[in-house]
Amino acid sequence: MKDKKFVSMVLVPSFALLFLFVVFPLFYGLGISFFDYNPARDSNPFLGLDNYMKMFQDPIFKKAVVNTLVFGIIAVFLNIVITLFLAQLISVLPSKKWKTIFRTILFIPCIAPMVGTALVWKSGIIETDGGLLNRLMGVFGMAPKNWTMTTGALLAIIIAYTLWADIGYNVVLFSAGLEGVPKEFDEAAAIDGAGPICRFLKIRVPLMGRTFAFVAVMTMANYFQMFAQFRVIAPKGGVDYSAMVLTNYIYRQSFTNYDMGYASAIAMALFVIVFAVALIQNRMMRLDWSYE
Amino acid sequence: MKRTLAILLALGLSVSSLTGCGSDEKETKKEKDGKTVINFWCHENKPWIEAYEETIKRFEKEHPEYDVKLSNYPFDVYNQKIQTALTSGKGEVDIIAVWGGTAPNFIETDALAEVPEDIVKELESDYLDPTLGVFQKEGKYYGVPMEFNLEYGGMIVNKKLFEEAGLSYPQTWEELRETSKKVAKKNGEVMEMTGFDMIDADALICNYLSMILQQGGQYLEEDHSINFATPEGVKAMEEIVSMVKDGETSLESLTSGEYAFNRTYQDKGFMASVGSWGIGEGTGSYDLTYGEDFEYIPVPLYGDEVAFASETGWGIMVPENSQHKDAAWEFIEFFSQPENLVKHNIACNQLPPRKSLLDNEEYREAMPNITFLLDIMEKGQWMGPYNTSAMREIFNEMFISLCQEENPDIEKALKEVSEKITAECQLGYETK
Amino acid sequence: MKKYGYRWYHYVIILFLTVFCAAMMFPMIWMFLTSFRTNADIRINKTTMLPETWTLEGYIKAFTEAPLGRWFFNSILITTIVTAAVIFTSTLIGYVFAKYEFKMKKMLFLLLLATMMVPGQVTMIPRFLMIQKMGLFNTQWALIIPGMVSAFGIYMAKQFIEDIPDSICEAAKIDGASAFGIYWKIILPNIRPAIGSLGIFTAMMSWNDYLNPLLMLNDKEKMTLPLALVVFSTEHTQDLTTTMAAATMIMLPMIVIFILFQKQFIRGLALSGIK
Repeated sequence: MKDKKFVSMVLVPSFALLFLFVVFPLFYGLGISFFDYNPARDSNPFLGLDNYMKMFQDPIFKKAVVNTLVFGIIAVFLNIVITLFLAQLISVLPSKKWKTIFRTILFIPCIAPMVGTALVWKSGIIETDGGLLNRLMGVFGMAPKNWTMTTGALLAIIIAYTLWADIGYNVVLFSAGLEGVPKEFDEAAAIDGAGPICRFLKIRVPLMGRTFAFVAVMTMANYFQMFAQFRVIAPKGGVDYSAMVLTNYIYRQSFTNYDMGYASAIAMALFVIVFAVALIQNRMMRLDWSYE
Repeated sequence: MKRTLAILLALGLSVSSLTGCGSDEKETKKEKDGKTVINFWCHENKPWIEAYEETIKRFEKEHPEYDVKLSNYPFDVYNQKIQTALTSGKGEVDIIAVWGGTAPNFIETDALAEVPEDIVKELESDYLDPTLGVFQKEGKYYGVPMEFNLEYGGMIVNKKLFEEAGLSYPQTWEELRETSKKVAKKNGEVMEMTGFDMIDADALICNYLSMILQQGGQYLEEDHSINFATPEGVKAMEEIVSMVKDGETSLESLTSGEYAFNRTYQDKGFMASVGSWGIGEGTGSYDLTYGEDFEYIPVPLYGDEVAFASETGWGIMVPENSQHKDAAWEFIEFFSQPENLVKHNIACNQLPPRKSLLDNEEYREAMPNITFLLDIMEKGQWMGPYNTSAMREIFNEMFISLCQEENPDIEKALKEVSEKITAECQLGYETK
Repeated sequence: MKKYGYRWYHYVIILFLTVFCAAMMFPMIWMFLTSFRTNADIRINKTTMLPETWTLEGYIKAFTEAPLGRWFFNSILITTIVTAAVIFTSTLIGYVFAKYEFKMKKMLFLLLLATMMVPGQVTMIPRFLMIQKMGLFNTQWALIIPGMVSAFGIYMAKQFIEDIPDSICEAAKIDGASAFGIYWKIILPNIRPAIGSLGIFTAMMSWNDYLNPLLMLNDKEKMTLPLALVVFSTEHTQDLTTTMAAATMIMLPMIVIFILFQKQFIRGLALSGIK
């Protein structure tokens, strides 16, 4: 259909709003990143590319980039493996009631605010003295550990938390995707003697390619922007900045060091990374977002 | 669904028009009853808020033309709120209570109003040096101290544990270490019982600096740069590292962002160094009884003479964009009068910043357990022209990695951290 | 599927998933139980999760020491407005993208999707400065206006609306229906599952948002519920009892709404992925 007047009546105000609150701030931020910027000051000296030079020499920034990528890639990979597995298990169940119950329970952590549940993890699970993790260690006869002082383990715990908090979405998406796969394909393959795992990998997964691509891209973009759990569990980035990620570093630069210019430069780096990863994924999965 | 949606929409819109989303409520309130509204910000801390309200009540009685409105924000985001308020041109707030460790970030900008002359006179004649520290910028003052900050000097002792072990409180540094070693117990990496604990985000550096000073050493050079890599500095650091290596205490509090005294209150530690405010946490959060469950006693001297460094504590400032600066200063002047300030200090478990309050009867009577601190306060030096929050972070980080190394090169680490702190944390303005 | 009935492995799966879900619920149970313990009890009896004595102290303190009732009201108000607005704009814009031809359509849609990739932290500072300059600072509009259009919502709505056959729309048009009339009478009733899930999704985001209210508002009375998660801790100690009581109260309404609407929500969310 065509209706120029209606289309512009709808799109002009809505894109204006998007421009105002997403696109414009992006360029505003880009502008700030060229200054030694503190809005409470009368004059803010222009620095040119100094903030970016500083950034490329900043060891904490480098660690934060690596951690952000490691966190994003591992967490997304595990998320997809675990949620596919759970979705497959749920879809095998013959009763609708059980399916609903499990999906609902798995989804409940997604409803809760992350600031709250991360705090629960911090005080109930990670805590050195009496936390669940150390009590489990005790059950297996291992000595308790101070988890906030570990390097790799702390990031692993944060990944575990993120999975706990977030798998519900993808379980729901995948289990619907799996149910969308026509039964005939599956049955035909079974007659050909393919085992259940082989059928799952060779037939079901490829057939829900669109769901898969959608989930992978959205989850990745989302995970690179995770912030609350880092702020609660490793506010200062952990020992040796082993759990410092870009979002937290931006926050700390803006509100602990009040160096908004530098914070904006790092923010631009984060944007470039998120965007680049999304593009690469798009390419790899040959994903056509708009039209098939 | 459509009907529900329509109802929700209608409901939402009607409610929002009713309240006008609260947008211009404040504008009308400002001149209500012909009173000038003074907006006063503080952080979330119940006894402190109650103390502010008390003073405000007295102030409003004396000055009925003013209406002081106190707002509080979680400490977690308080500095962020201040920063944003200074940024806005609207003058959201007239008086801000601020922690000396973060105040430099705001003083550095041009967003604060200068302290008027009559209050400056008071500051220069009656306030202890460390309390003024960061509030001075190029010969002017931008904040009025409300307390003397002292994280060194006293420790919480768990009376019951001492009684059960048949031990008496240590009087000398040697006794302190000996007792500490005797009672400490460890399970793997985790402490079951700590001896003497001063390894937390606040106490560590304060104790370290005092240990240097008590040996007759110094960490501040002529040019205000920091140098910990002196013989005294190395010796003091060796002593502290050995506390961790000997298993008397651990890095647990430091890394989890907890305070060492928590363990003492949980019957998991014998002694913990903390400022006098720690007493309130024991009687408050833990429901313990002073004198029965715990006591607050002096930390034995490390060197021969009393010496310590104190950083600038909480103070009050007025933003330049305030619309009622004169009224704000009038309130601050009232607040700082000895007879009002002493009530505030008592209610907040703070040490008084004014020399004239050091032997104030009212204070000593109300705070009998911490009078030993009043006696040493004048011997303290200012910690130096540094952003102490940033300095702590760098210092503590160095300490953590030092404790994890097998054979740490302490001197090298101290040298590096001195340079780093000097370069990164020195105030961006002259403090005299 | 029912004709197959239960086989042995179904029971194994049910057992496994039950154990898994129970483990998933542990933090929630911990939160719930902790909200009934005193702070001294939490701090001293670390090896147990059960309250020594059950207390409502935390809940009482949450209500008396913070304007919790007011925050509840604000949260409901803001969430309702934002959700209603997002449902309306998403479906309307999605409708335009799904059913209309116009210049630069593909480019505009890609731009829309690209905005989803802009991290919140990147725009946080500029957005704050802009809100101040626009005079929206310290008004609840600062939370409402920027949230009224959602790229994700538009994407989702468009996917659904594409499923509605063009012929129905064409027919309505020939019958004299206006563009908006088609939207209101044909499109909306046909995408109910999408509206349900989009609604819950948006409501959740808005309900749980805690950084924006803190940044954009000054007056405590104007703030929203998630603030209760940080408000009960001082710089020295964390009041876990009250914080957990507040957390429980924040989560309960959402969990109840979710369970009530879960069928629609899960269907809608699921369809957004496969289509």
